[in-house]
Amino acid sequence: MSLAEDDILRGVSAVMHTTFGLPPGYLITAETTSADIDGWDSLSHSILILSIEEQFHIELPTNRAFEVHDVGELMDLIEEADGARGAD
Amino acid sequence: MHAARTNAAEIDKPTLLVYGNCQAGAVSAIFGADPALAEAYCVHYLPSFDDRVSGSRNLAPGVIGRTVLLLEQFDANPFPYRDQLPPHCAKIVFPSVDLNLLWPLRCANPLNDQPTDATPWGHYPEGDRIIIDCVQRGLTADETIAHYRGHAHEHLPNLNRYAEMEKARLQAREAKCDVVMSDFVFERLSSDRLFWTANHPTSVSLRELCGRLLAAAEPALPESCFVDIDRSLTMFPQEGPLGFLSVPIHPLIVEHFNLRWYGPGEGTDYGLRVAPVTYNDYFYGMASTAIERLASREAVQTAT
Repeated sequence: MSLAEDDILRGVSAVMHTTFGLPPGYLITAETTSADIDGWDSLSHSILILSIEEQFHIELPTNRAFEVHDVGELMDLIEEADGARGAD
Repeated sequence: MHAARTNAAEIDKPTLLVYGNCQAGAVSAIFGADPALAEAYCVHYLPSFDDRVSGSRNLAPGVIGRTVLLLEQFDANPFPYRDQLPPHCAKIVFPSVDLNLLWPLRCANPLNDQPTDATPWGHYPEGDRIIIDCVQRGLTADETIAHYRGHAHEHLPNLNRYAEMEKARLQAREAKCDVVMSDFVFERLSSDRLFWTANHPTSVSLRELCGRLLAAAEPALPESCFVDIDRSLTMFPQEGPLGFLSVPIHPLIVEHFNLRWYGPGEGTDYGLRVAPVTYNDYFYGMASTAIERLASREAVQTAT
């Protein structure tokens, strides 16, 4: 069964809270960008991607993972990787 | 690395302009320390970020007008005066030399101490997710270290996959640059200390970067064949221009990547420079500082 959008956002939000030490109430939306989050820079992006892979038990396309500009694009990538896993 | 000041003697010299983060400042300082380059050029550094040490991000029009070579670090904030450069100015884009692979638990440190003149970025600008989480949960410094020793390894990612991700990250950025460094970084990672922190390369890396920049700049920089980078590096402290802070590396990372250069007491702090502190001491200091910072914040909140 593929992941619902809400589940993806909830999972991404949990990973981002842990990775960037965000305060409990901090709201992550599809529009959230790296500029909104202290510490989300090019250096920390790969550990974010890796943590997301572990959270969702998927493997994201490595090159495209570095082209995302906001949480929404990241969610699309997760949905795609999850769909590909389901198709295997 | 102070941004170069243009004095009267240098006013007519062509400018070699280096733009970027603190690494660009180091490159500028290394080139500026070379007699052949200093004789022929005014070597000028322009920070790409608001840097309380390096100073102004403004550039005088005269400096831009005399620029014959721009070494621009690829950055989220591109060089802001490109359209004002003379038509004959050569431009070379180079990457930041950074690698998070050795510090996968690294994070921004929201509980760092206040900057001072001696410690302009505080003592612990590089945070650690486990340490910060423990402090925020109310653990003491001793409890934090005990937790760290017992559980930090559980938070380490799949290190082979992480290496793939880091290589892909560097290569994606280098696709937009004229000079590359990731081949060097991954080839030499086990045999040489290349980084003090995730984004502070050692002299080994800076020497290679400067060499590659000179090779790329050679057509525009006839003096490049006379430049002696090793001699310039002797002008800096033993640990190099960016070695004022070193973050210890988790023993499992040392083992996994076979870091043959790494000693058990690695890690230096501001002011101590070459005096090593142990892995535990470093994180104990970070935890203690974070606890104090958190307590003072809570005291302020209570008072208001």
